[in-house]
Amino acid sequence: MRRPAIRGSREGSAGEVALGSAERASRMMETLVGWVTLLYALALALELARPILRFPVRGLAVGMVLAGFLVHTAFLGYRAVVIWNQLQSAGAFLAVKQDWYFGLAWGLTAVCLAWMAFRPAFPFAALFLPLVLILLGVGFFLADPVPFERGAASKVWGFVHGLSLMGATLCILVAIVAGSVYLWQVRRVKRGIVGFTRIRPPSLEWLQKANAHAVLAAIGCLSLGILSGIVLNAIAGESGDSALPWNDPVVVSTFAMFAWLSGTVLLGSVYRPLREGRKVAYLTFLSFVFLVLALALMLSGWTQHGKERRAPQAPANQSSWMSSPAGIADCVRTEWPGPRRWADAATGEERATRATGGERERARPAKFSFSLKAATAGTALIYRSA
Amino acid sequence: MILQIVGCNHRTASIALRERLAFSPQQTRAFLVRWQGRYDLVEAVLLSTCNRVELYTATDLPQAPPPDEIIRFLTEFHGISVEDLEGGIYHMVGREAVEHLFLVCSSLDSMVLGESQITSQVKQAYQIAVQEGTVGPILHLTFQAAAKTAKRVAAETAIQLRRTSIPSVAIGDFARAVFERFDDKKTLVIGAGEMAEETLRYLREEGARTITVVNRSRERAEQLAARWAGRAESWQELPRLLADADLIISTTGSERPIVTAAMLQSAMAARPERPLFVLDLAVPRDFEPSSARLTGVYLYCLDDLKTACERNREFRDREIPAAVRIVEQEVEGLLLRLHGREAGPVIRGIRQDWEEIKREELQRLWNKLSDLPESGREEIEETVDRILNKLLHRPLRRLQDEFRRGTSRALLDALRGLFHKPPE
Repeated sequence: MRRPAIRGSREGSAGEVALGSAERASRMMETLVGWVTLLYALALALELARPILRFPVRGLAVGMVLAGFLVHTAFLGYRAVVIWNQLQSAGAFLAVKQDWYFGLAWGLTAVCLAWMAFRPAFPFAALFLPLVLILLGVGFFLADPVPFERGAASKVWGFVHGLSLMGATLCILVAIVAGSVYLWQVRRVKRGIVGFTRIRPPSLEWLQKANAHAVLAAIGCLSLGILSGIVLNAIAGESGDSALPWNDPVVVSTFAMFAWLSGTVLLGSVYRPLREGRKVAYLTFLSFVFLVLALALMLSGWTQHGKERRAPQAPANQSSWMSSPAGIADCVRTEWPGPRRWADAATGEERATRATGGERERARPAKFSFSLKAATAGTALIYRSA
Repeated sequence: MILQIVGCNHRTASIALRERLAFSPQQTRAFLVRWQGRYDLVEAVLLSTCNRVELYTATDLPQAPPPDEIIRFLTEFHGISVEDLEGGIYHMVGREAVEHLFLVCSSLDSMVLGESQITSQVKQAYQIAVQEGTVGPILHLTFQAAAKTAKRVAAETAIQLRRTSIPSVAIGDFARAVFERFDDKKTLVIGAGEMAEETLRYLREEGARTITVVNRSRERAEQLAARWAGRAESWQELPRLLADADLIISTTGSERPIVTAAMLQSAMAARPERPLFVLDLAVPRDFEPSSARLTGVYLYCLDDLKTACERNREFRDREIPAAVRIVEQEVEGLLLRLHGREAGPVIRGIRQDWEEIKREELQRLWNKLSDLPESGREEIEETVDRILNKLLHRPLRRLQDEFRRGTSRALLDALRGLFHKPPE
């Protein structure tokens, strides 16, 4: 039997040391994510129990969210330091899709904490934390742990692109929360169910403003995201890579979301009934559909976005795929055999054969790649590429 | 120690009697000065609100001023005769008195259950008495414990959370659910009824500034507007004002609705993005009920508000048992402290006597057993200490139980007489 492909590289023992460090880093990240999830889940349980329990649990819930937020911050900081140290590039941080989801969850928790502090009478965490946990889950289990391949120019634009779209997503999620509570509060106020309940949502005026401001901020972020995406595409075209087609599903859904949001705001500026709180909330829901669609397309792999689009030119040899992020990414995507540890999968005969000389399989839509189990490989790549 | 209350409240005395017995802050100070001149060893706090007049007194003397004398002292101040009181005066002593003060301070004895004003009134009465020098160790402890009890009741129960008057519910609960702030909102008052004025008071407290009044009688509109620094408009301007307002309070005496759904719909068409909050406090109603179905219109009539008040009252009532439990805990704690304070010197005296006896007897023993090793002496001394502690344990335990019941004096005297050597 041959040696495991990933260990049998030319680097020999140096590669093993790198992989050992990667394993440790991966375990550390798993532990931190586990703690963050546990603390958020406990806070969520406390917030959900608030209307039932007679003794005050809000302080405990805030404490849990705060503790989770601090661990979350430490986790993101740790990842940022690892990536910064190894790649010496600020732009590479958001090049890992996992980080995008973890960062988004962090931003949403920050908003949640702020709202919990300023609006103590309403358990906002019960609405924010499920979204946060879903984002952590998607980042943990579904998102790709392997960074995008980026040239020097595209690193900065890639960072701007990732960050602005993260901001847009965050704003839309905040708008959804505000809009949902608004609609609920309208129902309560119309029926006269106010004042004598344990849970008191903020006023309609506050919720409407929060919703409208979040939508405006989302439009701003989306504009920047789309603009940076266009620049990235132009850079890709110049450097010989094929540009992301304009009819790519993710591009189309992002444009649709932008057009929808900006269209409703523009229309609202001339047609005042559209600015009524309920209508704004309903319009926000539709933008959420576009958002979910775009994220689902990204995760499902029915897109060229974030993938290497260079046409296959020469047979890859071992060293080229081992040293290239795209090579590792493809390896993870195309050969992931199922719910086994990535390291075990990498030891397979077939994989080793492909790695040493076989033609690489390209542009095949990635299946959900159990990215945590492939986290070792992702982190190994970061260490290796130093 | 004797702690007692003499007074009357909204349950025992008519408003006419309470008015005659009431004390202003200046009168309270004058009364306390006079009290100190007559009973310099008796502590006193006088609580006078619109719903009660109560004099709290306490002393460590074996005899406290009798209630009749206190009542006479109270009535003399106002120059009324005791017969005028029509038996509306109550008198409480010891545990009952402490319990009453705690219930009063926690707003469990108020006309409007849970209203928080009484707590500050009790604190104010205590402060005045402190300034006049009529508060000693007993009332210091008692009133501080009362304030602590009120704080616990407010924090640990929801008794103060729900509003119970119609104007406060209308603004504090209903309007607050729609608007975040009121200083940038335009208020329109239709009619010049009493309820409108009462509601305006709450609105002003919440920060409302722009107030417009319309009434069929322009003169009355101007009077009301002047009182609330608003402006009066003519009745014909009503459709325009409806479109301009954020908050409407309507209290006309009209027999038919003055604002139809169609009128309101056209007003809303002119300001579709802004919600309109309407308090229809008139009977019969001023707004057509179907107006409530319009988007952006939040219309409430008197019945809606009464229902909310009733629910709030029921909610407060449900909190009473929890609040009373807190009061009982605090009363128990205070009585233990007060009686402990009284019993402390007696217990210390008994202990000192017995310690002295122990020392004398042990010295006699050491003289007899001069060759006894140090370890043996320690052993004997520890045994004697254990015997003393066991002998003291039962009477002290019994004393503590009696303190809880508030009837410790006889037992304390007995203990003092049986065991404590009087100072030579």
